Amino acid sequence: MQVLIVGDSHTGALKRGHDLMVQDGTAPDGITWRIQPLGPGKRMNTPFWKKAGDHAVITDPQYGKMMPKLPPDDPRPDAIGLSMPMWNGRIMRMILQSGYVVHGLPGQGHVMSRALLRHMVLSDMKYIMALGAYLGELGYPVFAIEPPTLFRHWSYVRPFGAETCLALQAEVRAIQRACVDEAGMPVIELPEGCILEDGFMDPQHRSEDPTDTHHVNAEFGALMLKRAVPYLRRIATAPASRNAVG
Amino acid sequence: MDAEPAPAQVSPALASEYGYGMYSARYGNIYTARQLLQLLQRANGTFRPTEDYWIKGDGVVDPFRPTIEPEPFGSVEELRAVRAGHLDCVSGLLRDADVFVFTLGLTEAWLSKTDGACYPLCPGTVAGVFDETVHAFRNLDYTEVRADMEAFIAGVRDINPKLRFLLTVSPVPLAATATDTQVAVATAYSKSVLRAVAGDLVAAHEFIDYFPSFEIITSPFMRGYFFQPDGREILPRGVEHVMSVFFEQHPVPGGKASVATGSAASDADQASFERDMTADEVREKIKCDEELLSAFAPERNA
Repeated sequence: MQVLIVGDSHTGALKRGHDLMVQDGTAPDGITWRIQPLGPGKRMNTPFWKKAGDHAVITDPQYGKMMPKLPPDDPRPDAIGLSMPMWNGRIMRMILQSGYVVHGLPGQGHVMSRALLRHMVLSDMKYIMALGAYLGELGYPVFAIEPPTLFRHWSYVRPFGAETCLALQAEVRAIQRACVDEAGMPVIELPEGCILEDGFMDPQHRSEDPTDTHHVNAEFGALMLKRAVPYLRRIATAPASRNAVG
Repeated sequence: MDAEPAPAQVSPALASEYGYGMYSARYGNIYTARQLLQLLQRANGTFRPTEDYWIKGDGVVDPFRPTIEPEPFGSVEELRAVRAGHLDCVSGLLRDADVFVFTLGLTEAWLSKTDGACYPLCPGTVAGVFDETVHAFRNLDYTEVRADMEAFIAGVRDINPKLRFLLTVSPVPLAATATDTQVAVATAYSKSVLRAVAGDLVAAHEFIDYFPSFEIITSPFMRGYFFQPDGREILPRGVEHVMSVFFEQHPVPGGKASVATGSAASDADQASFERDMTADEVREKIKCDEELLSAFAPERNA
């Protein structure tokens, strides 16, 4: 089974996780992974692709250098995983840096409505979700891979406070999740237990680079790939229900 | 000035949908001098209208800017919190501005019989319920409009003594009237009152000026050239002409005027958006690049 995973910088840990699995002999049988970044997620809220018959052309110049068309010609993937739809850092920065606080959430700042937050999140995701829908229309089973939530070391936690960041993160992620669910896109979720009682990601999953405050390490990348395997096995044996599997 | 900007990087279309970037704060259309005066009074806390929310569907809207967001607020508390922030922005705006530009739009107003609160739209139209025991129509006359404008000007100059004013009168005729006169008659009354008040304010105060967009668009010798075929809406060429005359007469000190067009982000916007990244964002982007390089560079170089 050919599985293509494409997305933002969180594909880095997935790729290193894949390499780790190969190295230690724990890679699942029968699955060939191709893990391909488009680039940092900063521009994924812009129209970075367009329809082109039986594929999508990546029109963002930076992303196009990494992957000019999606899916690539060969091999044809049996499933496509998107490591894009649920990254919340982009939208959180927009709100926190602007001095806004969402009504009902902790924090100081100019109050914005919850409806605006929801529209901001949906607007932020719309090109990614449209890409997922288009790939689905082309017949590819498409799933999302949930990125990590916040580490306590995230650079915005100190200036804005843990409570504010965690609450905003949870709200944004919930909106994203509802959108992905509504689109019928299965989600490979973070494993239980990776978030500590204080609400932050367990620091043992942090990137090997101690100055990196928001990516996970190879072990966690491997774990997420393994969590996708039951879903992939299921669609391999029950193609008719591919997109209905949650 | 934009005293109440949208959160960073919100698209112009979404910002506009939520009332950002249209005016110097998110107050929506201010049609009457009474509304303008009460905006100042609400911002400085001297007027707290009794009826401060209208029900709409499962939520509530602000009676004083009922269409500022496309969806109702989820609760009265949310509405009040968002409004409090907005009124703080209005206070700051009035305190810091050098010039206040105001277009006198209408004389017809919907008022509360309880406390005189002036609504931009008739209660019960887009939200709320019209109750004739509580709400009343009033076609403000010259004396009232003049008094409201004088009170506003005096009140705002108490806060900001250096503030100067530029007045215009809306050239757009009424689409309908709540009076029992024909709409053309109602339009003539309304425009006459507003134009006379503007003229007399300019004559009375050396810090007030008038810009004749009304005359540019509506004068008989223009033969309706700037109106849409419906005889009411102004054509883009009319707006462009008015603005070009305005900027010829009022050059922007030290630079070129910028007028938001509401178009989607262009490449230039994107480039500027990248330039505007904060130090934290730059550090995070570097980490994203490094993450990708560490995972994928060996493969690419192979």
